[in-house]
Amino acid sequence: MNATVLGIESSCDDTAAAVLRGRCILSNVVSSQTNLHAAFGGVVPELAARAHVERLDLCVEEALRRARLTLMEIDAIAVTAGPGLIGGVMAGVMCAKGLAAATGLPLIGVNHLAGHALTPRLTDDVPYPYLMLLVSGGHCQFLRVDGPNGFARLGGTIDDAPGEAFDKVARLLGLDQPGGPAVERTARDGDAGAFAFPRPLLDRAGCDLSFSGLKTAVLRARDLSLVDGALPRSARADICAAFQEAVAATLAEKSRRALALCPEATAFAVAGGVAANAAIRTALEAVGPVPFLAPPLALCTDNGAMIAWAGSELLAMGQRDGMDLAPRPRWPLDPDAAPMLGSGRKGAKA
Amino acid sequence: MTTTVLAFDCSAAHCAAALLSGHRIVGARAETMARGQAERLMPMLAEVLEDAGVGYRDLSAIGVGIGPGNFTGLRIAVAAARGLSLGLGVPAVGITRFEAIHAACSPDPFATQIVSVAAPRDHVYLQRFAGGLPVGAPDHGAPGDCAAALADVALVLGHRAAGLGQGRIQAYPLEEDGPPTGILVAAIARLASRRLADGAPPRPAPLYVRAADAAPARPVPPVR
Amino acid sequence: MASMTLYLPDPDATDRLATALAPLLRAGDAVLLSGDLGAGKSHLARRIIQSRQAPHGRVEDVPSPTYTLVQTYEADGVEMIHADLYRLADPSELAELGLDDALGQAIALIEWPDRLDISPALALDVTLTPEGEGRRITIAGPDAAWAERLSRLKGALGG
Repeated sequence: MNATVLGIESSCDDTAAAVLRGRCILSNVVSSQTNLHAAFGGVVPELAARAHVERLDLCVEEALRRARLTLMEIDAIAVTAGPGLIGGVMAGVMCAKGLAAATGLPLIGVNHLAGHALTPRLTDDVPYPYLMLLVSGGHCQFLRVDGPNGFARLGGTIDDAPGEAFDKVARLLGLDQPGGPAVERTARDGDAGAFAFPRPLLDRAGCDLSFSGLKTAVLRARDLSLVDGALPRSARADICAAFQEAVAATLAEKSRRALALCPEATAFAVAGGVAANAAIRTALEAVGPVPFLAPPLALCTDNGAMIAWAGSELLAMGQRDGMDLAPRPRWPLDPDAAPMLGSGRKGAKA
Repeated sequence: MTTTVLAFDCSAAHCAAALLSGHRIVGARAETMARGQAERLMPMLAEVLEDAGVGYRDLSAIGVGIGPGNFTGLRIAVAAARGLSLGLGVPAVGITRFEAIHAACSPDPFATQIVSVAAPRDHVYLQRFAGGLPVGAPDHGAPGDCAAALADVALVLGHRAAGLGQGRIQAYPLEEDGPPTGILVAAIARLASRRLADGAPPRPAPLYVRAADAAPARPVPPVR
Repeated sequence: MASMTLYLPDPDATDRLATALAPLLRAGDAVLLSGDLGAGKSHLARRIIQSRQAPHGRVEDVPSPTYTLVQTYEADGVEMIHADLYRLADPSELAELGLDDALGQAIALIEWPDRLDISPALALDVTLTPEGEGRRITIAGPDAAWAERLSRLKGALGG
C-alpha cells in the first residue's frame, strides 16, 4: 500500500481533497462551508451542493500544489460515492470521473463511512478486526471492521445521530450552528448535575442508541427554566452540560457493550465530528480494556485523506470502478445488518 | 492547429454531447433521460470521441451547458467539465442555454430580443439580448408577470413565446423547450470555440437564476 | 373537515396510533406533520413507515431525514416518502428532490410542511404539541378524503 492516491470528499458540508503516499499524508485540503450554513440552523443541502461544484477542482489543485505533485505522478483517484447529500456526492463523483477520464487513472468509489472506519489503519496501522464507533452529524453506529470491504454493524442509533442531537439542542437553546462546538463551549460554565436527563436505551440489551428522546427532554427542561419568558444564561449552561454528560455516558456504556460483543477486537476507535467533543472523548477513553484510538481532529471530521486511504486499501485489493460509477445517497456499510427498530418494540431485535 | 472542442449538456431531461473539429461537428449523441445522466455522461463522451477517432489529449477545450435548467443536471455537467479541464489542462467554457438557443434559433440575432427557457412550476427564465449579445442578468417569473421585461423588444424566442408576445411582439415559439438537443449541444460547442479567442474564460458555474434562500431559523426564547 | 384530538402520554401511545393509522393510508396521501422541534414528528413518521412494512416482513431503519431532506421507503409496492423540509432552500427544490413527482403517487409524510408553497390537496394535517409528559395530537383532513377513515381510526383506538 505505497501507492500515491488522490482522495476527494464532498458528501456533506466540507469540500476536501488530499494526496497520500502510503501512510504519508502529502496534503490534506478542506474547504469548510460552515459560514455558509451558520444562519440556517444546519446544513442546507442546496447551498452545500452549489458550493461543492465550484470548489472541488480548486481543492484538488491546491492538494496537488501542496503535495508538490502533478496528476501524472498520481496512481489512482478515490472519491466518496456515498452515502451523503446527493448533490455533493454527485459533484464529487463527476469531478473525479472528469479527472480520471482525462488522465486515464483508475477511479475508485469509496463509501464515506468506510473512509472514517479505516482511518485508524492510516494513523496507527491497527490490525483487523477492531471496533469502530462512528459518530457524526448524520451517522452513529458501532462497526466491527474486518477488512477494507468487511464491516459488521453491531448497533447504532434508531433515530437521530448525536451530531444531529447537538445541532437541534443548539437550535432549541438559541446557540450558533454547528451545534457541537457551541453546546460544548456553553457547557463549560454549566453544572451537569443540575438536570437528570435520560440515558436512552440503557434499559435495553445490545448497543443500539437513541437520541431523539433526549432532545425532547432538553425542550422540556428549557421550557421549565424560563423566567419571564427568557432562558437564564446559567440554566442554558446547565442544560448543555447535562445534555453533553448524558450523550457521553450513553455512548460510553454502549461502547462497553459493543466491545463485549466482539472480544477479538484489537482496539476501540472513534471517528466522526462528534469525537471532537472533549467530554465524549474522555468518557470513551475510560471504556477499555483494549487500546482506545481517536485520530487527530483533522482526520476525525470529513477529509480527503481518509478517502485516499480507503482508496489505497481498495486499490491494493484490485478494486476499480467504471465511468458509470453511480452516486449512492444511501449506502449501508453492512447490508446484511438487521434494521434497528423503534423504541416501541422493546426486545424485538435480539 | 485545428481547434477541437468537446461539448456536453444535461440541463433538461437529456444527456447530450457534440465534438467540434475546426468548423465541423464531427460527432454527436443525444439521448432523452429523466435521470441517470451521472452514470451515462462519461461513457457517452468516450463514445463520441472514439467514433471520431479523437482522444481526450487532442482536445483544445471543453464546452458545457450551464443552464438555466435542472439543477442536478447542471451540477453533473459542470463538475465533470471542471474535472476534465483540470485533468487535461485545457479551458472549460460555460455556455448558457439562452446563448445556445439564441445562436441556434434566432431569426434575427442582432435585434433586441428576449430568449425564454422553461422554469419549474410553469414559470419562465428570461434573458435579454441586444446586438447579438446577452444584456443584463437573467430573470424569472410567471409568464403573466413578464410584461415589463418585454416592453421594448422586437421579438421573443423560446418557451411559451407566443403567450409572452401576446400577439404584440413577434414570437418564435420552439417546440418543447428549445431546439432539438443535438442542435443545442452543437451550438454550445461552436460558442465555446468562439469564446476561446477572447482569452482564458472563467471556470464554468451553473446558472441557477434562482437564489437558494433557506428559511431563516425559528425564533427561540431570548437568553438573559 | 373531519378531525380528532388525542392525548399521547408516552411513546407507546404514539406507536399505537401509528399502528392504527398506517393501514388506513393509501398511495397518493400526504400527511403533513406540524409541531416544534422535539414534538415527536419523526417518531410518528418512523412508526407509520415501519408499521406499514411489518406485515410484509421487511422492516427498514428509518433514520432522521433532517440532513438528507427526503428518504424513501417501500412496502407492498407502495412508495413511502419521509421528508423534513426545515432546510429546504426554495420550494422549487422539491422538484430536484423528486418530491413533486412523488406527491399524489406515494404516501408522503412531510415534516415542516409550512415550507411548501402549495399545500397538497386533501392532505391530512397532523399537529403535535408537547403537553405535560406527553403530547397532544390533532388530526384533521377534508371530509371527502378522511371522514370515513378517521372514524375507523377512532374505532381502532377504542373510541
